[in-house]
Amino acid sequence: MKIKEKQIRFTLNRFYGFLITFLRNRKGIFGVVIIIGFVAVALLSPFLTPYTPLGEEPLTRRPPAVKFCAPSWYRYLPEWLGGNPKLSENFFIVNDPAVPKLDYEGGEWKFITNKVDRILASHNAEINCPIGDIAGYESKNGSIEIRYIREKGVIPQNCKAYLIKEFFYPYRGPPAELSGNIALLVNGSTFTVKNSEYLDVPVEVKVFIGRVGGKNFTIWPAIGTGEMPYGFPLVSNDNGVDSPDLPPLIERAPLRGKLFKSGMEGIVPGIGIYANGTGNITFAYGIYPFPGMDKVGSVTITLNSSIWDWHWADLDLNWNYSTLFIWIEKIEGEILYGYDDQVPHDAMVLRGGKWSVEYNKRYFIRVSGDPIVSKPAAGLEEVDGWLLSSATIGNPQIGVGGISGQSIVTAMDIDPRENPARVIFTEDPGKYLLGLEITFVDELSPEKDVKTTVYVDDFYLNLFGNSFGLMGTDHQGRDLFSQLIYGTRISLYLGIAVSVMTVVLGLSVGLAAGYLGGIADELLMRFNDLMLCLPGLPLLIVLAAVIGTTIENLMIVMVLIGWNGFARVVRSMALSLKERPFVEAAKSVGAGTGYILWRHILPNVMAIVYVSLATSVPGAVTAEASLSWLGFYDPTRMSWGRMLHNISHLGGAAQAIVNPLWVLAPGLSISLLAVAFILLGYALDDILNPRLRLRR
Amino acid sequence: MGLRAFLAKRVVYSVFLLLLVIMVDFFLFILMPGDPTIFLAPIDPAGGILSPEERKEREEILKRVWGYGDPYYVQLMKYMRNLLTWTFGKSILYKTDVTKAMFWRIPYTLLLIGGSTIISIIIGVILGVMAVQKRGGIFDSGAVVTSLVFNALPSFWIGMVFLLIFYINLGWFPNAGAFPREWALKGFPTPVTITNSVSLDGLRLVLTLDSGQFIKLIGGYLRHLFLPMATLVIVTAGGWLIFTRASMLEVLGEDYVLTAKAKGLTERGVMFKHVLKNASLPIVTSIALSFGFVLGGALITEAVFTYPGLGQMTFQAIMYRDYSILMAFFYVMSICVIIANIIADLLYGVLDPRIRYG
Repeated sequence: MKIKEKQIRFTLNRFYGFLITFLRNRKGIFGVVIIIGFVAVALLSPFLTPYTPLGEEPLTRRPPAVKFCAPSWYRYLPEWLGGNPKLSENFFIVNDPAVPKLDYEGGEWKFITNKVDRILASHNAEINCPIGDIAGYESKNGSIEIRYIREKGVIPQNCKAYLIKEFFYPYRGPPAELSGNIALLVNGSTFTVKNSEYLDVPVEVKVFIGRVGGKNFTIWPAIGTGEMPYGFPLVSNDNGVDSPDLPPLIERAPLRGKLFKSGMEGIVPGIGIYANGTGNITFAYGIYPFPGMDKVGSVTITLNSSIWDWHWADLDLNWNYSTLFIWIEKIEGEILYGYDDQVPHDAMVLRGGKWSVEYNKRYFIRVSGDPIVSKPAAGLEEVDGWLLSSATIGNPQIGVGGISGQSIVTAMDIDPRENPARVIFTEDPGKYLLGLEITFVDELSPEKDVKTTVYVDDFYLNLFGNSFGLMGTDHQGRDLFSQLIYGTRISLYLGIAVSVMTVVLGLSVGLAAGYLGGIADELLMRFNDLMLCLPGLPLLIVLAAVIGTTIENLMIVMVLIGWNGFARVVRSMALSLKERPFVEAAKSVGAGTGYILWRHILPNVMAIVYVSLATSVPGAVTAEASLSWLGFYDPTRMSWGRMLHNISHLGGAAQAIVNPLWVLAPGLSISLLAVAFILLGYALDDILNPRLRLRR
Repeated sequence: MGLRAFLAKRVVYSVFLLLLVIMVDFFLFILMPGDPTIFLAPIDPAGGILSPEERKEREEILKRVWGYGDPYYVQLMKYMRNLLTWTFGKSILYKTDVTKAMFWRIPYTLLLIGGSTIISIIIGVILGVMAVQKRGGIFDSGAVVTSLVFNALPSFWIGMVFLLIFYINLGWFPNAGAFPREWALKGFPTPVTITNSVSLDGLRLVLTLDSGQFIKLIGGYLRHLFLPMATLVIVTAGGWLIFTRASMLEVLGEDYVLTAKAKGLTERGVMFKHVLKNASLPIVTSIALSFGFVLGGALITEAVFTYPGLGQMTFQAIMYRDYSILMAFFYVMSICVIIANIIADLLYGVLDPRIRYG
């Protein structure tokens, strides 16, 4: 007991003495302080930034802003330093779109109409659009109810009502993107023609935005372009005739599935679709997720039934791909899928092997006369009667992006070649208004009471600015600062793990080779010669490209390439220690190999071990950064090297001018971490290396 | 015994080592885990998807030249035959002979990496000697710290920062290629022109050397070389400095240096006559070794600056899964390193009179 206590006290004293010497070494303190700083950042990252490691919002897992934003404080920088006072930030016009209330009820919406005797508006707490929409607002209870009531005998007349929100836009530049949502439910008394029913008083709805005192621009309904899904129709009566504004009875939204293969296992892959109708559906499949590009093959299913049923087609796949995209190429005829009158179904399933499917379904079925029915993605409640329309107002040619999952539409009275945000918002801060114009189209005879009620819920328009956060955003709109913070974790984890593994492996083999000699020695030397002859970085790249780029694979590859350098050093030390008198003395007393290695050789080698532990880390961190920069990064993690890869391969020179922090910050972090570990290693070397101590 | 026997032994050993290396290369490429059809149909973003003709072409080359799909020993035989007789066939990526594709890139890489190695060795050794002369002072510790810091910087990031400052903001240097792009269209400056002139004496050939064109030619290349070389020099010069300084400090501790000082030699005399001579041994062998890595060295730097050298070729070959080029490249690299090792060993024997082979 007493001896153990003395031993512990002795070790503590030695450590204390070492600590004192270490603290006198300026380089060492500097290095340790920086390392502690990095470790603190790595551990405290969730507190330093509210976003996930990939820079996305935690709830929606979507980027918080548009792509290529500048840092938000650039607005205050003088121009010669790179600042830009015309930057705008995110501005959300409507504060509480889930529970909209009128101003006299304590809310934010103003209601204006010239027919106060016929049109009334109030907040209705029960009726509510049950879908929380994709921007992440919860669907809470409540909507605004706008009622049109005309009694028998009163002259029919078109009446308008307005729901307006005024706001003050404080930035001197227009936003980069406008993105909004509205949900409408229309109910009313109906008249019947043949088998369909029509509203007595249909409504036409328009969403507009404009400067107070200036021009108002209609931003919804809007025109869509190309083959993207959008084109949200008016809620209106069409007399049973197909009007060019309304989508035909055929699905427009593309159904897309992404397959992750895990072995074909003798099962022929196939697609099944739950559909009804007459016509042909052609599915195409390919490597890239952009329908129309690089299609590899296609298969057509012919339908000829009016019963909802599953229809199957085999896929002709004769090679292994890890990801395959399947989408609908074209539909001929009249086909509905995924929904039958009683039960909504998964529209598309895939058969064969272990496939996992992820699809986004958002499609509209229009049945003439009734209000438009919108079917949400699987898992959400069926909506009865609500029209849910969500879009990004922008210019599809410019490529408004960053907010994924929304379609892009062009505002109606703005030249489609212009960016609508720049037309709507000028360079002065000022008062604007966002409004909904409802026209009750009352043209029927006055013989009966008519009424139509419009419920408005989840109505908002978000203005996404072109600056965000402490460092701006990357090519997908994700926050760069949070990527930097979470990259610390990857670098520290990888650097320290690789260093420890390399040292442990090198130590064991080196000691065996140096002390025991023989086969271990020969093998080590030949392996070392071998590794010298193979070019380091190309080998690393080839291995990474073939084995796969998860971070654990990278660590293993780096250890395999790096361990023999250290093993050589340990071997030479062991060789020289082997000849020392104390080893001979121990042997003469009868000590076994293990004892000598553990009690005599190893403690004398520990000096190099500590130094190597510190100095191998920068090599590993820099190698990971180089590999990530070349493109071999772990797609599930964001590291500093990956940030640099993004800026040089996806951002380009333009971004480097707008946001040079994107280039400088990750590189400086890598350098700082590397320098800190090297200083630590050098300080340890100064203290522990016996030769330097004697010969200085 | 002597030098000749040692050389013979070394060469025989190197041949065996070379054989071992190429066998290991072979096993690496054949037996690696992962997608077995990876050389037939690369699916990474850079490789893209192959048209059926491309795929057939690839299959044909792989089957005919390398024996793809045959049993392993047949593949090994074909592989050894290819490497030892230097028949690599056509490259899938460049559509020409592998040999041609490689050889016209070698001068560029040699210029870049050889040049920067030489410059960084010169800078490193000179500064290292200066640091040792003023050891313990601020120049010494400053030089060491600066070298450490620069050595730790990731080279591609330094390249990107240089591009940001000198190309994007200042526009002094270009960002890609080895020579100005307009030379490819309009023709290279020709400093040497040979013309015929007919006169009463007969036909004469007139050689004109145009110094203006000469300056343009050299200037163009240098302008494109400057940034990548600067990047490489900054990152590697520090290593040479530290190495020189460490090896000289080790020699400084020897007894004969003390004796020399006691004899009354000047500081300079001690430094150059005794210390440097003895310390130069590891430095020279290190230099010889580092030239073995010249050809394979700067894949990253060439990628950053899109410099058309061997590194960039290798990188594209990896992304495009061009088997022939990769095999050829690894082979050439191994040969270079082995030859450099032999030379380093020889130098060691020549320079150090204490060593006797036997």
